[in-house]
Amino acid sequence: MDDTLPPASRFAARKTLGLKEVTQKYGFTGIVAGIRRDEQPMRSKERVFSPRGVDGAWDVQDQPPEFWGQYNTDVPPGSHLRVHPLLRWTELDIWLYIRREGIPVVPLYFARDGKRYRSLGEIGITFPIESNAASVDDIIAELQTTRTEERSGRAMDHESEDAFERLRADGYM
Amino acid sequence: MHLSFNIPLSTPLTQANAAEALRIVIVGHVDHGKSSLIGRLLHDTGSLPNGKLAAIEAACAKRGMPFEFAFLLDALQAERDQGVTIETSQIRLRSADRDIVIIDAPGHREFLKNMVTGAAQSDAAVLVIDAVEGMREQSRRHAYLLSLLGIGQIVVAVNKMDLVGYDRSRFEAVAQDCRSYLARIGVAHERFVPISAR
Repeated sequence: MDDTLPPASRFAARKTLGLKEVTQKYGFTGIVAGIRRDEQPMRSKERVFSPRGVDGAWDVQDQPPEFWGQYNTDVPPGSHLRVHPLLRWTELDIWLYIRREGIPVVPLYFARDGKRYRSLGEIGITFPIESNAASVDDIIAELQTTRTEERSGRAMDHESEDAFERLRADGYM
Repeated sequence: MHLSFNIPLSTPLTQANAAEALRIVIVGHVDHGKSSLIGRLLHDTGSLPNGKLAAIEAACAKRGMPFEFAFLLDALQAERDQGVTIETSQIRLRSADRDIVIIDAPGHREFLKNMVTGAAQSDAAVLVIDAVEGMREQSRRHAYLLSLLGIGQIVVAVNKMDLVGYDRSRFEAVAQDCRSYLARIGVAHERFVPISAR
């Protein structure tokens, strides 16, 4: 692990280590991840089919072009593809979809005593936001007007200007 | 191997009842002001999240630079340090009528493949041209690639009008130069707008 990362980012980087281990152990050539462009400016620069380099690294400055609905499914030798089918969805789309399909969700998303989790990560570096949204309908109404960022409660996003870029370059989801 | 999907894999299923988002790519020569225009648009429409302006101010101060709206989309350290967009990115604007997806595209020739990736996902385009410099190599190249990709609706924004003292004849000269080039490559649905985005 990169010891020069700030503390909360080192915490988050443990997930990357686990992911690398399991990818190697089972020899996965593709990983489907639910990241979206509207979550974070680094994720906004992703491709739907995103080839990884050696050790799962993401070279954001040298990505292949991607046209319309044509996706390059070549698996890089010795590595894997990240597939991001929800890249174009927004946080609001997710909650509208949950409501339409009646999908059960973790209760931590719903407000208790004026706070709720808007984004869930590791304990210790994930914090609730102030909110009274206690149902799916409430959350949808909140998201239509909020100016707070979705990941405002995720400490490693705000630790330093480049922390999230360094995490993602190393293979973080 | 290439895979082609007939299902709308990357289109949100939930917006079936809402108006489909309009996707607009901002293209043009390097340093003609694409990322600044987008930053300004987001700011003036009240679309910036809380704390974003302060974060940009801090990033500019750290580099001893005056405030730069381009820092909003230029998320890579390399982009901020070099003052140039490298990889395309997207940001959503909500309005009462419809959602708009703004796609930022790099203007440097070295990153044309990233510009094309952004443009291939758009419905319409804004071609930004510096009023002082006029049409440059990537202005023409980007316009040509847009027409090749089948994007026929182009708004030409003649930017930095403040630097030419808002001179109408300069605007018209740049617009005419661009109009004749677009006509040559078969783009007919264009509009010209003088702007000063910073």
